[in-house]
Amino acid sequence: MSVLLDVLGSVIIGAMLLMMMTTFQIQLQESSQRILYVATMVDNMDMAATKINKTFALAGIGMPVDSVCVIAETNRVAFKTFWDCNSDTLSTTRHTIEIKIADTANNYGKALIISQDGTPMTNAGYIFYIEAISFIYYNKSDVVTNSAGTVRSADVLLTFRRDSNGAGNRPLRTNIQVKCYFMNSYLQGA
Amino acid sequence: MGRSVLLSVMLMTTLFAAILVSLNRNMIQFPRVMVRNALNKEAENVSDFALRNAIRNAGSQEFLQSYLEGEHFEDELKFTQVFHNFKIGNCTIDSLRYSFVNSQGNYKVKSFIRASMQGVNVSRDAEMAFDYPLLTLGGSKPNIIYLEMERLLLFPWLFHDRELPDSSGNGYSGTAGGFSLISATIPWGGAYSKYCTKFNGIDNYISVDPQVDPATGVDSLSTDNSFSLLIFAKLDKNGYRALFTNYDKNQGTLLWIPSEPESATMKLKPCAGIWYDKADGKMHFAVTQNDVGRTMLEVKVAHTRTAVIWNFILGIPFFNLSFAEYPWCSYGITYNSGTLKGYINGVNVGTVSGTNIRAYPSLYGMSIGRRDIRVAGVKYDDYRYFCGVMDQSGMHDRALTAGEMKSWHNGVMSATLIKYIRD
Repeated sequence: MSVLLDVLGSVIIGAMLLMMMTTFQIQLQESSQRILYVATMVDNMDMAATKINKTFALAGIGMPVDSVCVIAETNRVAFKTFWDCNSDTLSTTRHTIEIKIADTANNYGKALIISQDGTPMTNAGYIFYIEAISFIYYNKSDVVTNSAGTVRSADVLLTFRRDSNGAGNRPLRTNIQVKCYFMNSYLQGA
Repeated sequence: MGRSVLLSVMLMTTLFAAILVSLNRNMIQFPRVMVRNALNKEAENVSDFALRNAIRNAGSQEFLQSYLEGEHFEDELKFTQVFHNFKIGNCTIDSLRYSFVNSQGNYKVKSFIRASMQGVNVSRDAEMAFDYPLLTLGGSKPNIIYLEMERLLLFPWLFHDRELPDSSGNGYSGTAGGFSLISATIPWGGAYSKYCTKFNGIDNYISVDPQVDPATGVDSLSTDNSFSLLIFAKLDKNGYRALFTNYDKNQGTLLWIPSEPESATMKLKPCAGIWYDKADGKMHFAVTQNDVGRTMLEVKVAHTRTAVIWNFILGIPFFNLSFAEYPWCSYGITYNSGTLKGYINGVNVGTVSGTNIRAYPSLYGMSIGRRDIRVAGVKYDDYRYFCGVMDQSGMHDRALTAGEMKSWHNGVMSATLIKYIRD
C-alpha cells in the first residue's frame, strides 16, 4: 500500500513539475512571439518611413523648383520628377509621383500606395498596417503652407495599426512623424 | 504503470521539443530584423562618406590627371574606380563610378556599398550629379555613328584638317569635303551643341567611310532590318544660285546611304536617305528594300523652308552670320522590318509599309550633304548638294519609338543640364 502511495505521490509531483515547465515554456513562446511581433512592426514602420523619405528626396529632379509639387493635400501629395522610380534611374521623361493610402482596408490594414504616373510601383508599391496618413507642408522658410508651388518639405504623420497576435488583446497602434525634404529642390538653391 | 509513465514522459518531451523549436525560430528572427536595421544605417553613413569623397575627387585636377590621365574627351567618358576589400566597419566600398559628359564640369558619381553582419547582407548605391545633360541619359542618342560636329575646322584648305569625330565610340569619323574659306564649321551658340557644319550648296559635303569587320564581313553602318537616321538642319530657303542663273535645284541631300552608287539603275535608290526636293517642295524619306525589285519605300511631305543661310552674289556664297535666328528642324527615319516612318521635329509625318524584309545592305558608308553617285559621266546637278547648315547627325541600330524621336528632338533643342542627388 505504501509503495502505491509513493508511486502516486511521485506521479503527482512529477506531473505538477511537468505542468509548471510546460506553462513556463508556453509563456516564453508567447513572449518571443510578442517580441517578434513588435520587431516586425518596427521594421515595417522603418521601411515605410525610409520609402517615403527616399521618394520625397527624388522629387523635382530636372524640374523648376516652383513646379515640383502639384498636389499638396492633407492626406496625399503628388510631385514631378525626371527620376524613374520604377527602374530607379534618371530618365528623359517627366514623371508624376503620388503618395497616399488606400481608401479601404483589408486583413493587413490599409496600404501605403506610392504610384508613378498613376501606376503603383512594384518595388515600393504597398506597405501595410497603416491606419492613417497626414501631411503638413512647409515652404522654403519652414513656414506652414498650403500652396503646392511653394512646398519644400513636409511632416508626414503615419499611424500604424495591427491586430494583436493574442485573442482578445487590444490592437497595437503606433504613430511616427517623419520630416521629409524636397532635397533636389534645395540642391538647386531654392 | 511503468509504461504509462514512459508514455506520458514521451508526450511531454515531444511537447517541449515543439515549443522549443518554435521558440528558437522566433528568437532567430528577432536579431535578424535588428541587424538589418543596424546594417542599413551603417551602410547609409558609409555611402555618404564614399559619395562625398567621389564628388571631391571628380572636381580635383589631381584625380583627373592621375586616373583619367588627362584624357581629352568631347562627348562622354566613364570611369569606374574599383576597390578591393575596402572595408569600413561592417561595410565594403565596392566601387565608385564617374561619368563625365562634354567637359569635366558636367559629371555624376555613383557609389556602390555592401554591408554584411551575422549572415545578413544589404547593399546600397547612391549618386549625385552636377550640370549633367539630360539628353545623355536618353536611349535615342545615335549609337552607330554620331557626328556632333563639335570642331572648329579652321582653314581646311591650308591645314587639311577635315575630320569630324564620331561620338558614338565606333570610330566612324566624317570628313568635310569641298571648299571653306575660314572654317567648315561655325559656332551657333546653342547650350549643348556649339558648332554646326556649313554646306554652301556647291561642293560642301561630309563623307563617312565604311568599316567592314574582316571577321564577319559586316559593316555596322550597313542598313538592315531595323535602324534609325537622325539629323538637325536649317535648309536655305532659296538654295544655290549660280552666276547669271536662277536658283537651281541643288537643295538638297541631308543624309544618303548609297546602295549601288556605281550602278546606273541603283544610283538614285539609297539604302536610306533624307532629302529635300525643290521641284515638288517636299521632304523625302526613303529606304530601299532588299527584295527582287529593289523596292524603294518613300515618305513625301510638303515642307516650307524659311531660313536664310547663304547669300549668293555673282555666284559666290556669303554666309549669313545671322543664321542663328532661324529655327533648327530635326529630320529622321525609322525602319523596322518593312515599315518606314518619316519624322520632322520629332513628329511622325508619314508611314509606308512594304514587304517584311531588311533594307538593301550598304557597303559604301554614308554621305551627308550630297548624293553619293559614282557612275561615269554623272552631272553636277545629280549630286543635289545641300544648301544650309546641319548638326547632330547619326544613326541608331534600331528603330526608335515615336516617343524616343520626340525625346531626341526636344533633348537637343532644349538640352537640360541638371543636378541631382539620390541617396
